[in-house]
Amino acid sequence: MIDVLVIGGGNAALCAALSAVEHGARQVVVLESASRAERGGNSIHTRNIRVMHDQPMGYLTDAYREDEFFDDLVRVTGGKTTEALARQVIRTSSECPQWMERHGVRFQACLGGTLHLSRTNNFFLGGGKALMNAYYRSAESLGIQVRYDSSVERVEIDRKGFQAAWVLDQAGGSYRLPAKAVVVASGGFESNREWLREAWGPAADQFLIRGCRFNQGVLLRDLISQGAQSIGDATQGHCVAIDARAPMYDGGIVTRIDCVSLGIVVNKDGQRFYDEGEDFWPKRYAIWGRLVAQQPDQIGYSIIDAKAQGRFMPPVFPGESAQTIEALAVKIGVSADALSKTVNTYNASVVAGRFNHAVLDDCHTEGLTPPKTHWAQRLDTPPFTAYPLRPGITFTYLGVKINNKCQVLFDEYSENLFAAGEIVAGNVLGQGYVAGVGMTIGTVFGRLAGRQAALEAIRRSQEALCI
Amino acid sequence: MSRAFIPVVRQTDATEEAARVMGICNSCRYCEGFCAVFPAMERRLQFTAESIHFLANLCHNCGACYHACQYAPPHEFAIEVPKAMAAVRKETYANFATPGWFGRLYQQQGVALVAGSVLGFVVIFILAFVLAGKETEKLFLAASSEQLFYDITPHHVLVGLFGPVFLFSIIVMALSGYRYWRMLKGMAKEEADRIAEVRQTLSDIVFLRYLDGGGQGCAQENDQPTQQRRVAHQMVFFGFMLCFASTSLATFYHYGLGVVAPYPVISLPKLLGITGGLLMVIGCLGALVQRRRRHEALIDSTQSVMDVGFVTLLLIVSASGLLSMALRSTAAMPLLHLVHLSAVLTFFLLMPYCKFVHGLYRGLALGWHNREQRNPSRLQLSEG
Repeated sequence: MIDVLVIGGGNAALCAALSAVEHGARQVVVLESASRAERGGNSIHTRNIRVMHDQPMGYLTDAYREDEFFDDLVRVTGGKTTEALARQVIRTSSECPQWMERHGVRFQACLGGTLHLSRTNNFFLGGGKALMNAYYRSAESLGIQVRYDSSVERVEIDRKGFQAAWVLDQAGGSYRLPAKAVVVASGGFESNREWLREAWGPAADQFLIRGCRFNQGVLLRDLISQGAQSIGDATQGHCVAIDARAPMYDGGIVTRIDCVSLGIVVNKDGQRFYDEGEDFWPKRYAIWGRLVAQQPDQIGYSIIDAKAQGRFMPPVFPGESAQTIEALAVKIGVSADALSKTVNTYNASVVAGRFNHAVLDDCHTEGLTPPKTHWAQRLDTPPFTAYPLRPGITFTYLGVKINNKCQVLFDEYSENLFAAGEIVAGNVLGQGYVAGVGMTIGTVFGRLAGRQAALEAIRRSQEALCI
Repeated sequence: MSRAFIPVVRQTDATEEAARVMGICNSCRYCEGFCAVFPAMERRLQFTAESIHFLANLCHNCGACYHACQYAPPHEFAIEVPKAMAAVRKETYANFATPGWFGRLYQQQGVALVAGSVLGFVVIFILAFVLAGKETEKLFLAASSEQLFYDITPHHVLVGLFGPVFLFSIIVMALSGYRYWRMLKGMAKEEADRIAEVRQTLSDIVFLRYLDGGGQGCAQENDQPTQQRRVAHQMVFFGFMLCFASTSLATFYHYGLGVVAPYPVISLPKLLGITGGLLMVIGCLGALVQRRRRHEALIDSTQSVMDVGFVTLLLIVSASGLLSMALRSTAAMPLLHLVHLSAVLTFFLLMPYCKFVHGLYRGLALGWHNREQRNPSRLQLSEG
């Protein structure tokens, strides 16, 4: 019989499978819904992992200690985190880079334009797909069996715990796959439009999915329906304002629009709705998905003038440009009167200051609602350019509750049913996001779940021998 | 020099596809640790045909970025950097060929190879028969005396034939290189620090720095990086350099010291030549074997004829050279000697119009890259 079955094919799943083998599991099988070409889940779109360290470590500069990491987490989540689990993730994160390198992952200095992360985040050479390739190669060399195109429709659980998974085969049927222990690392439900609609209402129809199309939340729903305790709110997740022209799935990093703080953002009625200059963009981009989601038709337009050109990371699609605000309004389908009134009012309220995008400068508006508190410059130099924005969901936080061994909690914990990755993210992230923490959670809990599953499988093997 | 002397690189399907790819890559940047292409790309927001001909020649086709790409097929963005760059390099070789219309030879790869080979072989063999006069049996004799070598191909005739051809090829390649460099310089004004640039560029070439996918090697049949290709390439490269040194030294011995070939095995020209020849043979064989196993995404099939033909030509040059020396006291020697001379003449004729020029443009592109990188970027992108 299979010792450890891993459901999922992303970072947490592979960490679990590798760790299971390292801790003595003999037969380890990974079930990946995607094909070989599309394997790796949302992890292929990642680029770094946030890591605690008490002194400089590899490319990581200075120190990033447990308390600072925890404070960062508390700040972004507004305290919606499970402190014991969060601290467990943070503490164990410092061991991760070395372990990752053992499995062929390589790191690099922080990417151009991400200097602010050089102390806290360890960047993967080549990004998340290179990382996943390394893990899959390591899995192959350790004799782990990976079955592609293998979605699990449900798991069989009785009072003794997990018994088997029911796997959909290519022919449309399904087969039963028993195992001594299982790690569920099958992601959130962000690709499931129905479920998003349940949570968000009709607004969800306009959401773009930044990651893969395979995260349907099938096992999340299955586990909850079989009595697993859930944690988190279905409307919470990593949600960014991205280019409205992005593909429905897998737009990944390139669809971001990084000029919000350099101009103004209006909705389809030509009205501003939030302080574009509240804080540095890397600290604010993750709130703009929700902000746009709350606007009529879930669309926004980031508008800049020629002064901002070349000052932000190049967007993947060219913006709409025009010589006047009115002409631009016509091009993007916003009322020209409304937009020019908004821009005129904004321009009139801008107070002269010393523009400096590298600091929280003194360029701001006065008497304007909502205000723009930094980097406020008049939109007065044509051509004017607009980029359309839509909410882009990276991943959802609603998950199953786990204990400190990654065992899924039902009325009690389940001895041989473990979970890791996005499906348990809600245990640490109640809301908000801090860059690279998704990979920290996935790697730490993936490794832990794999180890515990291996130990449980070995215990069951020995028990069977004694009988 | 008039502006018209610089060929205007036109927008073509290949440069537009590469510009599309670079536009997407420039928003992602995950691959910037792999090689020179991505840091060079990050200094730009617009990708003109000139900048594409620059970036394409920086690309060593290691394949690391293809396997690491989240937007590679089946993604709808269908990003394939190695293929896009290879297609542009083919146009660089054709556009910058001198004289211009010979560039078509590169596009008609088979024609170039066949024409060059036929010319090289026919000339040498006819020459040998003419020189042998009525004593054609000499061409099939064992080398019983050292004189035979020069009976069928006298030294002054060889110099008279190979010298001008070699000189012609060097001159037209220098002109091509000059025009390519002018194009690079035309992209933007950058402060030069020639000693530092040249030193860095030589080191990049000697260590083939960018064929190692950021320190782990180069992709072959799958995403597993290996150093095989880098090792094979450098064996050919250094082997070629040693053979070149051997020939230059022998020329100096001949004219400078009046010491006439053949030289004993324990002599500098021989040792250099034998070592170089062996390195080339092993390296070429390695390259040909590896090429067959390469992932299809890393091979531009429209250039297969030239790629394989060029390496095969180098293999024939080096193998026939080694063999004619090893078998010099057998009846096979004169024929092997003629094959070797023919292959060398073919190589000299083809140099400016075959894959050989990849080194020219890549070296210049690396030189410009190393200049650029010593200058601060003009862009002021904020953190994102």
